Amino acid sequence: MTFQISSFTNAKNILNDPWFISITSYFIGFIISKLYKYIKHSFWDKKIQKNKIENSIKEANNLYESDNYELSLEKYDKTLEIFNKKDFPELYGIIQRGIGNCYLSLAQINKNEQLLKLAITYFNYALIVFDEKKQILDKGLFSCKYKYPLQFAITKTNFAVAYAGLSNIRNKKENLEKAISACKDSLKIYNLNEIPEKYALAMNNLGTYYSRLTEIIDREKT
Amino acid sequence: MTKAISCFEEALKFYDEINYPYNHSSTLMNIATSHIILSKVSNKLENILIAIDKYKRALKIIDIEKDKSKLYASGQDGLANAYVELANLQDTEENIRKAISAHDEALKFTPDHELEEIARIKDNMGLAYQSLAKFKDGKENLREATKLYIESLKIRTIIDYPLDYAHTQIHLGTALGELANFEDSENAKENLLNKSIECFNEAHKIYSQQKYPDKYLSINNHLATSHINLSNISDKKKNIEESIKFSNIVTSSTNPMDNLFIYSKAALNLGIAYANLAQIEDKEGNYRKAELYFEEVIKLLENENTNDYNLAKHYLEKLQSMKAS
Repeated sequence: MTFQISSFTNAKNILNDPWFISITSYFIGFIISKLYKYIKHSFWDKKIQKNKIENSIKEANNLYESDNYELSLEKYDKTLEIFNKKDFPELYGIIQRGIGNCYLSLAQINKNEQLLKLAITYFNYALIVFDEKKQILDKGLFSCKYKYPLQFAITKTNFAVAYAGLSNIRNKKENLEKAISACKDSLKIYNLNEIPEKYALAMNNLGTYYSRLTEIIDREKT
Repeated sequence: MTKAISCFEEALKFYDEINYPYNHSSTLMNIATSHIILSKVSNKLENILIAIDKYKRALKIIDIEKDKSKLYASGQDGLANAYVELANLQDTEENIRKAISAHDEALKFTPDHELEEIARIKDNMGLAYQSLAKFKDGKENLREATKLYIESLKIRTIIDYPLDYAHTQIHLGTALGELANFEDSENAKENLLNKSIECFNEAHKIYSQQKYPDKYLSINNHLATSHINLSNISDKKKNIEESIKFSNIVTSSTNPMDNLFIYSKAALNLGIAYANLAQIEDKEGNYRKAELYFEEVIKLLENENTNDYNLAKHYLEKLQSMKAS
């Protein structure tokens, strides 16, 4: 018991010790500042940076919509310099697809095979991100779903358009088959009830690719 | 192709006529085009008729006052091609007329800057007039056809579109050759046949034997025909020899197994050329050669109901009756 009183008294003394107070205060301050920095970086700074990237993407998109493909391309490139893929993988994928779209439109204007191939390369970069899947618990069962289903479908649609374009230049059959496969991938996400407009567009594209492929196969037979 | 049609029909579930008239119309056109392609392998007539119906429905929906003229032009172009296909099966003259009218509409609504498209439509329209010439107003329709080919060639230059250039030169060459038959004056005939030979020579610049062997041989057949026709007007022997030269290139470069129709055409031209040569020299020997070529064509094409088969039969009968008399 005496020992206990004595310990308690000692502890009380330590708590009143200015050295102890100042060292503890320093450590608590240090931890709080680190925590603040972490929270600020994780939430506030990231939010600001995300806004900045999104605005930059918007500008690039607007340039694209107004047919300024080269300027749009530049804007997308510059946007890529202000962040890294790990922090915003979805935005990274969107930018890569944006660059692919610019090359695709430029290829359509200039009828240039190299530009088409570049478009495909960038769609592939985007797909590295959008192909990612995650495990989700659905009705008591784990299933694998796309992490970014819409982005995946949009990119696959554009990927198909690029391969269909390439089929006009060379390896008609093989490239149309790739276009068909990509289009079918996009239809894993699009459906008539939830995303009808995109579903109809993808179906129309798929029909066109099948139609062209059949024409080629028939011609080969004759 | 049924897969393609199913996909387009799926798209139509969303693209209804009221809310999405443009997409509805373009999807109907896609279905129509698929039926045309399908007609090449099965239920020819049925598929062509479905295609025509779909094109007509698609065209009705388009509001040409709005910014849809390109789609309207494309629909009319598709409809024209469908009528051309139908003309091969029934009511030829009437369907060719319908095709010409649709081509004309397509031309009216094709934007001026779409030069490639304009050249293509003019070439197709020329072909339709050339076909119509076989039924009515031969001279006028062939003149219209040549006019359209020449306009098409102003866009399809040898530098910008070499393959299309060669393609249209062949069409122009055949139209000029046919037009020569309608001319009364020898000079006009000679002039047209020489121009037709020039066209085929232009096509030869692109369709070389190495790169396009079939096209190359087919042009040789055209040249052989033109020289035979020219031999009736001037330099008889020289032109017959030229004709034989071109036909011999064909028969020595291919065989009936690989190229039945191209080979038969060359054999027919050789028959005609030797029959004409017989009128100048070695009557008996050349008539015999001609007879043998006509017999060969008849044998080769006996299961094919072609014009060349009928011509070979006609010439052989003529030769045999000449011999008998």
